[in-house]
Amino acid sequence: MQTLQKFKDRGLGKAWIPCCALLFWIFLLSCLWGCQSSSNHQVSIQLSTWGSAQEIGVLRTLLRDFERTHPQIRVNLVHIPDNYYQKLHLLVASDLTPDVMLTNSISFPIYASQGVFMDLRPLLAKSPSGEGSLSERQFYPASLRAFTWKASNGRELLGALPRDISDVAVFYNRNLFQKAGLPEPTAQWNWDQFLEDAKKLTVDTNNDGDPDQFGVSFYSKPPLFWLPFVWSAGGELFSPDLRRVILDSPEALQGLRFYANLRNQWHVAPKKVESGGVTMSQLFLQQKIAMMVNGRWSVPVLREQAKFRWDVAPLPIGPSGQSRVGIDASGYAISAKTAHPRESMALLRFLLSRNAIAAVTQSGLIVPARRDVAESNLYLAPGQAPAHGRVFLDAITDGVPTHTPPRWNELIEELGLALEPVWDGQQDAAVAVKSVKPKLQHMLEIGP
Amino acid sequence: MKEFSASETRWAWIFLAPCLLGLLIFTYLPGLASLGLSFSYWNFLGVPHWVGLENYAAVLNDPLFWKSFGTTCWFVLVSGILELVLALMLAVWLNRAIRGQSFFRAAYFLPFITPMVSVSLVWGWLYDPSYGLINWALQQAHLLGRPIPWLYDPKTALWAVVILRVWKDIGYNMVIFLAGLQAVSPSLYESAYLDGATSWRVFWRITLPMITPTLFFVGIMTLINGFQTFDSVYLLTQGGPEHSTELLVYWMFKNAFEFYKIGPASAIAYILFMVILVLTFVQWQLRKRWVLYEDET
Repeated sequence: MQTLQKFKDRGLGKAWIPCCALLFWIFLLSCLWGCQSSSNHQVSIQLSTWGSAQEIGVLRTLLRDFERTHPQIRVNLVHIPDNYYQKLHLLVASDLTPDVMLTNSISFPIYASQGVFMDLRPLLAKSPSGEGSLSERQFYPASLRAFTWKASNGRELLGALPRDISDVAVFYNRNLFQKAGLPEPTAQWNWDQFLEDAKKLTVDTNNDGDPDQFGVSFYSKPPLFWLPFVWSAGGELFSPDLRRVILDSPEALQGLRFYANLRNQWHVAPKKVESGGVTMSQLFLQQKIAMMVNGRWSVPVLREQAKFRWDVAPLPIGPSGQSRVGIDASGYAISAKTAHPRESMALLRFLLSRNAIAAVTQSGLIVPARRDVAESNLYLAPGQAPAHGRVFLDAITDGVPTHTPPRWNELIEELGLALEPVWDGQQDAAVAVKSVKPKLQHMLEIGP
Repeated sequence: MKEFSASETRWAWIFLAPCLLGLLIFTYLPGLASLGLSFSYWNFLGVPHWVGLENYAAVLNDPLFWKSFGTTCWFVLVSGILELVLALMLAVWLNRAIRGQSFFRAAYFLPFITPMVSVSLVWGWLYDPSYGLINWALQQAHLLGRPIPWLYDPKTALWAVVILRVWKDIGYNMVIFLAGLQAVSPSLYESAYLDGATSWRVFWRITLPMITPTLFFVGIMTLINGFQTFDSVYLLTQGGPEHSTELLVYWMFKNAFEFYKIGPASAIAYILFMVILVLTFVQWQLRKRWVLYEDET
């Protein structure tokens, strides 16, 4: 107060108040303006992606190369490590859709049905030929199908170009197979052999009546882990036109029951109480499960941390005579509203070039959708585990490409809830599916 | 209080403006927008369009909403009662001159100021059936044969969330109760003890009536916070298993950000708002019956 009094004594009166207010507002506004970067002659485009720190490291190196060869383009990387689609939805809703975005085939229909993605076919046609050219022929057809959207007017749209394919296989611990005196699985093994092996690999080492080592992993969600059993039994979730729920066919129910029984009837997979908060990958690393159904993304961690020999095998052949897994894909899409379609396409072409895909593939993380990289030693990586990495490529032929309705998240929540008692051994699959079918059917019918 | 002059009032508004602007932009406008959205169809990607009361009808006809509402009421009631009773007991205990009084006060207050994210991660492991400390301790003490599955069984998961909430919030309630207890005039106790009253009787006839204003405040805050519980469920159970911990705010979040159903999610938000408003109003009306204000006597 004394200082104030001094001001007043010097005849400043109450002038200090407006001065303070002015400074205060200048400070506040400059903070806000400071956020905006100055613009120059370059074109700035945004690229959104998910991924671990290691993946982002690889991507940043690639983007530096891109900016060197394309000095007029600057790429702003929007890294969304978690809850990717929630953030992407908000960006789209705020009219801040990134120019180029990574998307997977499961979420693809939500965006494609709302016209968020540009049709890439016309842009591909204009693509320069010769060295570094890009065409649909370079990708596995299943991965392109996953990014094709059929609009209600019958027009087809290629909404994204695939970077990688996610399918699942059986990762197995070779040491534990050897210890149990079992031959390693082959591409010809079927459900019976799979079950026999799983039983022999389930061991109660401390004789307390409960197994401490299990034959196989168990995930109740997401569906990509249990759907292969439905498909390999000859069942399906939806009819091909996505109009009807057909999970109540005898074949589909047989698949659901087999999977549930792994845990409950035969107890060759851990129950919830037995695994608790530990993930299946951690249990596999700790050698507490001998076989794990998982995707290619597990490879880098296993290469780094597994203290045992391991390999991969296809999922066993089911009663349908086939081994069928889901063929999901991740790829790059361009916003339909982008102000820079040419620059965005240049970036997309670069990210899908042989060199860029090779760099991402070498970490072991992905199964590349580009056939020239997949069928080369860049992917197959001789001398490194898994020795049978080709399993992921062979599965593509008989696989089931993603075919999800726009309300997939809600459907899966509802279905997952209904199946929980089945996975816990408290309800038969037929009862659960029958009770939930009308709701799922309704969600298919009301559309997006 | 001194009256402000006109120019002082004007400057006060200028200084308050940024804060009010923030409140307007980040609280009132979104609140208003979600009121509008509760009458619309919107999935983030397209353009919202008016559907009238359809969202409210859909929500009120959804069995999962009612299940979630029931779960939330049970959660608020059980955790609220536990919080109030235990916090009051703690406050009465720590209001006495005991050894390590400030240590205990700090210790019980600590969980309240610890971020829920780290707390939930740690409790997730404490509850773990095979590796968790809680099951290990109970088994070492021979209180349990088999481990309790806590978060993995629909029968126990909500209790696990209740225990976490009570543990976390009890310190805050205790501090408020302590303040209330210290405001009670010692002369009341002196005369009661002179008249030969037992401690039990003193608690019921003097302590409790004198702190009813505090009890009222803590009760309302506990009720409102209970209905708004989100983070522990999001981090610990994601509403599972079998929807057993699907509290209303989490169910609303799922509708909005997982199913992209903004309309129904906004409708849930406004239904919850009405529920809290009505319950608070009822408490406010009932306070005359049991809350003792000294200036009224």
